[in-house]
Amino acid sequence: MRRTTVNRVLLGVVGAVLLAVGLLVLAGGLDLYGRLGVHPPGRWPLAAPGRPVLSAAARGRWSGAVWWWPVVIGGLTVIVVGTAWWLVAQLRRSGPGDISVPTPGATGLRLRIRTRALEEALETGTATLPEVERAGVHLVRASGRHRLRGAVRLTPGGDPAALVEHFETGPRADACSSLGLPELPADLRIRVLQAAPTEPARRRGRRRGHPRVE
Amino acid sequence: MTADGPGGRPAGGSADGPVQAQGPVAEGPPEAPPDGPGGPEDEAAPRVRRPRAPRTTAAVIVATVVLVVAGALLYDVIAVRAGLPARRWRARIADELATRHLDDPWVLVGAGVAVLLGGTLLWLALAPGLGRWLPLRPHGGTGATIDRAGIGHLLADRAAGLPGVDHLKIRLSRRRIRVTLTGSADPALVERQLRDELARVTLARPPQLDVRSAGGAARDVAPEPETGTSETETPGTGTSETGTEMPETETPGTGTGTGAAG
Repeated sequence: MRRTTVNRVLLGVVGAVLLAVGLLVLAGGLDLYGRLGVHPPGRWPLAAPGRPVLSAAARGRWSGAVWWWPVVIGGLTVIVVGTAWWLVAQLRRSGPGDISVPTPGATGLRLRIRTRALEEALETGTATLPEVERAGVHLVRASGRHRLRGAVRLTPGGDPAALVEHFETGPRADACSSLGLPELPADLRIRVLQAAPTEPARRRGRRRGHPRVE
Repeated sequence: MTADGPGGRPAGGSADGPVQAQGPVAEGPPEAPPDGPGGPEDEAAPRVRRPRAPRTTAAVIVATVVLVVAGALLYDVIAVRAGLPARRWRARIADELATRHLDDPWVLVGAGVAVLLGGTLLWLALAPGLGRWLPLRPHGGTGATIDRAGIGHLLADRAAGLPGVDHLKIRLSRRRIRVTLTGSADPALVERQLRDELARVTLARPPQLDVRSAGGAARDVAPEPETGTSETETPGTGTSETGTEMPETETPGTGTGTGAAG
């Protein structure tokens, strides 16, 4: 499963629990039920402002039962292990160290290429495209597949659409064909710089002499 | 899964795209213009999925807090089951929970904080985020997003070259670009130019472009009236820079926030 999905689902669960508990306590503490004339069902928790948040009786209601402590310990263990895995999944963010290259026709040969070498080749190829000021490319593994993530900075007035096209037909196509990879989807993040400001006094002259006027 | 090749991404986007895409489209109808340029292009191009932020920082914080709390509780529960006395913090918390009533101010404050925190986390879970990255139309297997400020830079640079544009203010949101210009230039002319520039970017969902002139300052005079106009119109938003007479791009932080929320 994708990390974004996992993060959002778990954040949503934690948020929903907090929100529900907070709203229940607020509704009970401010006596909203009484003011609105609503009568919650008998076993509704935290219903009246005079009740304790968690009475000793409520806390010890099941503590005598055989299943209570195994369930508590088991549940807490699941939460601890789960959150530890969740945390590790956030910190482990680098892509694979190397990727395998298909070798059709050659049996018994396994070919792997360092990810960094591929990234550097792509970065060099992208940086030499027209209007590119700076480029960085990373290979990541997303939903079980390799994927390129690029960050490109264009010079002022640069053409983003042309960059996407050049990247597609240039560095990406080169990488795919030279490695024989069937697919290598890419996501680019493009920034465009603004033309360097000039002195206010020279403003009108600069405007007239601006190179991109018709 | 692996067989759909480069087409996998746009196809996937069109499959589950509509759920997210309905929002902006549904809100569009009040104004006529967005349907004009946006409609046909949207039908022609495959639906591009808006990027969603991975929420790594929030996940790290929440995971750490939950891990610490649950770990401490687990440790203490096991210690008590093993015959050791409960730690003082747990006895204290249990005692407080048992004695404090629901209308206790501390309980209410705690509940309010929980509501706010829970709402924030839910918002983080649902809102797409990455409001400053606008998707471009993909080309083959390459998808791209462009920085919203980058679009502002392109428009500002294009407008800076036009005659009669003295000062330019660009406000960008995800759905609307509002350009306010000072000078003798015809807003319609400038709008045509900027529309060209915007079309060059090939955004997947082109925002609506609005060009208007500020207070009709159609003079070739010096900066004083201009700065005056700017200051009265937008107090506190980058007015210190109006003196430099440079076309400025305003991408205020609040704008980014609202964009992300939408």
